[in-house]
Amino acid sequence: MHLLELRDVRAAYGNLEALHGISLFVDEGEIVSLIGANGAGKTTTLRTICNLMSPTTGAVLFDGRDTRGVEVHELVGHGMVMVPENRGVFARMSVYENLLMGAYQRNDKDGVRTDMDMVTGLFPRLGERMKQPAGLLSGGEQQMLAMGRALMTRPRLLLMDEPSMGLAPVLVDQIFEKVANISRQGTTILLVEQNARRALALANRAYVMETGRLTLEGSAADLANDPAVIEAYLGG
Amino acid sequence: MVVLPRPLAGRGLLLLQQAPNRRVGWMRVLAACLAGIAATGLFILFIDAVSIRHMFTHASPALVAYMTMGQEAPAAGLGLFAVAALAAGAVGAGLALMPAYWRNTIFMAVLLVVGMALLSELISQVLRQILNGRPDRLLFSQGALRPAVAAIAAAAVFAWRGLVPRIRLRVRDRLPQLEPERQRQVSLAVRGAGVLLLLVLPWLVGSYLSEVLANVGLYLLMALGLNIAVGLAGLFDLGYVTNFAVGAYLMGVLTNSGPQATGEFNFWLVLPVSILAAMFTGLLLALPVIRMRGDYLAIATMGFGEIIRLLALSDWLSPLIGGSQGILFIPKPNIGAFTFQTPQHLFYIILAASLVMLVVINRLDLSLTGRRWMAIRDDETVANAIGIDTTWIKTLAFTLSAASGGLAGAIFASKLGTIFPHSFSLLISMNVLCIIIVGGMGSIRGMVLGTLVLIGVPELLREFAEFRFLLYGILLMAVAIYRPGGLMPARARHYRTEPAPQPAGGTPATSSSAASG
Repeated sequence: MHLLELRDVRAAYGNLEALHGISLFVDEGEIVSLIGANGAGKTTTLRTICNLMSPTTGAVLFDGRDTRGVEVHELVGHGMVMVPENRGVFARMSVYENLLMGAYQRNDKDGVRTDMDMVTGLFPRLGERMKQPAGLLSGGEQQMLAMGRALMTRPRLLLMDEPSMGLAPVLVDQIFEKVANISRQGTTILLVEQNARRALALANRAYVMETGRLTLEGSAADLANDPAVIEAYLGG
Repeated sequence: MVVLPRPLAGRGLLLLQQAPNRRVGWMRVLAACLAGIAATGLFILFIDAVSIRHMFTHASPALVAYMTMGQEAPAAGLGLFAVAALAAGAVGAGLALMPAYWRNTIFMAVLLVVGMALLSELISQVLRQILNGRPDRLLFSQGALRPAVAAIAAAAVFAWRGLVPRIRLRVRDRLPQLEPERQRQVSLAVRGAGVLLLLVLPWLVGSYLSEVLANVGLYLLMALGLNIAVGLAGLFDLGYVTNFAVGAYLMGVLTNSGPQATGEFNFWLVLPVSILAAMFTGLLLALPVIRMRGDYLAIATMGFGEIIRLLALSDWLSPLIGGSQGILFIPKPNIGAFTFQTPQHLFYIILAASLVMLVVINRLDLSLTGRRWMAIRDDETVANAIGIDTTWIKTLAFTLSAASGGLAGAIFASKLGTIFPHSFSLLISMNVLCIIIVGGMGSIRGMVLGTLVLIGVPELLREFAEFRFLLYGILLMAVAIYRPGGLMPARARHYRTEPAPQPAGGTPATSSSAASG
């Protein structure tokens, strides 16, 4: 059984269909990348997975169960969490409070404290800035905070939407290193990225998306050598 | 004669402040004087030639004569007046060239004197309340401020400006040196003195001002409540009057001994019921609109405010709540044989309610729920996506926010003794929202200040009551431009409520440098 599976999912904004039947899966422990150009439907796919949008037809299965009708916040309780595009930190709250918001559904105080230590161990910068308002952090730090906040939910599946967007190349390196770290600690990751080279270097498997359809899939290494992918996404 | 050139002096000052370089200031002084002369001359010629008595009843021939200094020919008066305008312009410009400290001090002195003159009647009343005889005669003669008193008041401002910073410095130096135990005692003593002052206040200021304070308190209750929805959770609720009306009508229906008498229950019995009813209404109204955001929410809630007023007016409910006749004979609260009859008595009930709400809301503000509201305010979608049950948390905000409105309404009904549908207009919602915006969203101290400024001051300046909304408009614009966070923005306190856990990676968390914001 796959941890996450999409079966022929279609989704639409009003009358405009954005996903024309997506089928994909993510297995426990994997890093899977979803690459594609602007407007291909990558973010819509993620939004549909988290139930921020409902599929018009098809089904999203998390841990073997259909997620239709499950509230967005309930999915977090089931172990699926998203790191939103453009970070989406709570600007007027402190770093500490942002992290705390991630632990909203948890009652185990000790566990929360342990995870807080784990997050500050992974991102020492956050540990240094615990008391600062999140809005005053740099872009890279905000991305780390968004990731840390998501980890505070103790997810089984972490959905990441364009973590490299708007960051300097040095920071992109750092962020991808952190993603690899998180994966090594046992969290499954579905990574949506425009930066195909980086995404393919990191992932086990990947899907290529174009205008609402998946056009290619396979192991990341194979895709990185695929002439079509090189031509379209790797600037070859 | 002293009054008229004052705007001219102000104009000279304004022109000067805009001067990019203070060195060329004197040229600007000249320009300001000339501008003043030209404008005044034109104005005098204008009112001499055209009768403007239709528009301004005070523009009498006597005033024109006064302005032209009693000269028959306007031209002669113009000359004299020009000299005065010139001098005034020079004074104003001179002010601008002064160091800011002295300029501000002079402004404060002028403000105090003008304020005393404007509020002469009120000050006299208060004085007569406290002291025997006619102490007000010492300050005022024939309703006008005595020059000597004005001079003393101005001198007092100068002394105050000189002393206060020194006292503050000494306190600031001394306080941290005291032991923690002693510090706590000092802060307790200060708070105790504050509460004591509040307790004797109604008897110091008399019946009229107690009435004003009671109204301020009622609006403060509503502002504190609405602040939960608007300030903390970011939900723009324009129908807050709904809760106020529910509280008031429930109190009215259940306690009155008039035509709508039901059970003539006791005030204290009905008070919690009113609060619960308002909360229930808040919950009911939250259900349909909870998924709306921003402007849509504001419009929908505004509709509720109107619906409740129309319901109160309707024939359908009039057997129960009196329709446009309202509810009469609502008794004042009482404890045993003692009845809270006068504004001074009622002040205490409102004071107690305000203090309780202040404590409750302060706790909520610091709680985890308070932070969830703030998370929703900052980004609702993300809050939901990381696992916060936004629907429930928003419903909670609406419900708790309604409680304070119901409480205010219930006290309002009992205080007035009669309630009518027109007391529950959209304007109440607007006023409360204005308080929050002017005071500072999410800031409890801001609510207190905002209520005093927006409700208290207009009550005192009754003569200008028609211009109340003009004042609101000007204040809202000024706040939006110069202090977008409100007069007293929410403090950065939220950033330092919890100790930062030590990161496992070895880098110690910085504690002293981080607490900025």
